Amino acid sequence: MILDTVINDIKYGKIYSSTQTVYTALDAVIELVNRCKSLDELKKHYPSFVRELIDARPTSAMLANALREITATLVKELRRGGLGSAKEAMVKKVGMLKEEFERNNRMTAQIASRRLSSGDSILTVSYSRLVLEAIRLAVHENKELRVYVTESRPIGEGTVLAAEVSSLGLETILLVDSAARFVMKDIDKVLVGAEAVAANGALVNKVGTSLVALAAHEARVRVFTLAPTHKISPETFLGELVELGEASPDALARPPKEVADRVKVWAPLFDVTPPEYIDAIITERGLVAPQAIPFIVAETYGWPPKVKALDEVLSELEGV
Amino acid sequence: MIPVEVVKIADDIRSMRIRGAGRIARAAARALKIAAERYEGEGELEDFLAYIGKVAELLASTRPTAVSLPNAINYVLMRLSRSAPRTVSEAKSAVISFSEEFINYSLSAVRRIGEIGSHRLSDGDVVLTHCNSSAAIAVIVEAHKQGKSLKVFATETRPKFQGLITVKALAEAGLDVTLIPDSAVRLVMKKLDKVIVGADTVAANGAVVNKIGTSQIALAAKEANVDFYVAAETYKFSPATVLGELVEIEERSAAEVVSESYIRAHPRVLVLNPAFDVTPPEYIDAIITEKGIIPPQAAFLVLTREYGRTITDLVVKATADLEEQP
Repeated sequence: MILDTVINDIKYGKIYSSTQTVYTALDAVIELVNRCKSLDELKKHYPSFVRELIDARPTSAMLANALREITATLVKELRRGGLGSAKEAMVKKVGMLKEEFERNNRMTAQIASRRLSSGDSILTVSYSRLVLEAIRLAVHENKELRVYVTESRPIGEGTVLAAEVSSLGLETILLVDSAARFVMKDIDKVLVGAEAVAANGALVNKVGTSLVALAAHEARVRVFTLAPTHKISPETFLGELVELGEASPDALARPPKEVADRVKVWAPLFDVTPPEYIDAIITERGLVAPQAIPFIVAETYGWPPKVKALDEVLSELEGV
Repeated sequence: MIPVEVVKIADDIRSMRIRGAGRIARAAARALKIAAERYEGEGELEDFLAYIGKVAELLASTRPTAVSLPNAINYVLMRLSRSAPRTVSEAKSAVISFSEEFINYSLSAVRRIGEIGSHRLSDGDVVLTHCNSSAAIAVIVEAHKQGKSLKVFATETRPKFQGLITVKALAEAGLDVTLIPDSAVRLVMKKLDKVIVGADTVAANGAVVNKIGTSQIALAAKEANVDFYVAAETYKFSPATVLGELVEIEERSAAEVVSESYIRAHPRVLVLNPAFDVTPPEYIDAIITEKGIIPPQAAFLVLTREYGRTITDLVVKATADLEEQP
């Protein structure tokens, strides 16, 4: 595994699913830890690599949550024993986290699938493993759905999702991002994944999501986001703003060469959908109003939430 | 026999090598002019009129949505019929001169819109435009020439990336321009003071038919309290909509959106590729025409003043149709 490539793939949205992005990051962290021959090497390389990962995908609450947990495990084990056992404990922790994420995802998808009725026309954006799974479960229950997917530029991963949905035997309609409002009259429900959910219930997701949610709101179409609790960002309770990443400029069409040096290109990857355009956030613990996110946070982290910032955990590691 | 050059213009409009409502209208007028110039027969006037009628039909059939196309054709044909030619050569020269008149009118209308609209842009404004509109560009460039410092965002405009033509024109005119994906228009809205777009067709109630994506930009502008302007020559107003006619939204091929190999690999994915959408008048602050700035709800004024005769003809025809019914 070439770690720089991993960072770039994560940074520029080359891995379509946000869950898969986090798994790739966690595997890269294990690889890095395994390469460290001594505690000093670990202290030198681990914090900077983790910071690079966060910088590559600052929006991902799931990534920050997972890195915080595995780093805490690492610190705890290093204080107790040697490097070898710490490595082992961390690998085990990554495995446990992945299992937990998968469990959460399955439950979330299952709850979401109950909200899908036979005959529904669904609109989705980008590529969400969870949305795909919810659709798969509904199909399994013989529900007939029609699925509309926006191509989701920059990157265009919607085309990949459309292909996968069509292979489930569903009527699948692919459209350009600009046509979302045009089709909204024919849509019953909008279903999207989540990059992160903030303290106020705002949703950070692939750019274009907020526009689709606005058009849905205008047309009185329900909007659901599938966001297991590991997508909630506890840092936002401490006032942190979610930083929105950008794709590399070559993800957009290339301006004509005569003016290439004079035309700027801005290719944001994420946007923020305000809670008032979201009808429900579907988590593994149930379906909640976006405004009820603080309850979930209080259950998970206590109230006020006791969350160590990742930086704090990283400096603990440096101090071991 | 319709001249090859005229058929080529019709093909270019159909395939979008000639595109943009204003350019299509001028191309149609040019085609009529060429058709008249190349007409060889010297015989019956009726033969010539039938020939010009066929050329007009061919041109009108190329694209269904932009009303500028039939309006340009009607501009020439109505004046031709009003001039009551007695010979083929009189009719030929009438078609040639009215076609030229329309082309000149169209070009000066765009310039005039630039002048009028430029007053709506202030120093320091951040402006968004969508697709590629000569009229919208004229407004921005004219304001820039007046020394106003502007920053412009332009959408890529999928599927055909007309935004690239826009960024080229604006950058060459010396503007600070940034290309963004269509999906980012709500994200960028907070930075904006104004949105300005062109139009393919303006309906009787002030609804604007324009490039797909326009209506969601207007919606996002409304949400953010950003002014939304449409720059449209009066020949983009549709007289037929006065009689309740709906504007047909053209759907184009899947191959514009995804590659041939994608279509082959995923035959079950249907691609919906509407070329236009409809922005309701309540999301539009004003329509900038060469005759002045109007609220969209006043579209009826433009229609009755510019197309009174066409509308009267349509009403007469509709009344006759009604009377024929049992």
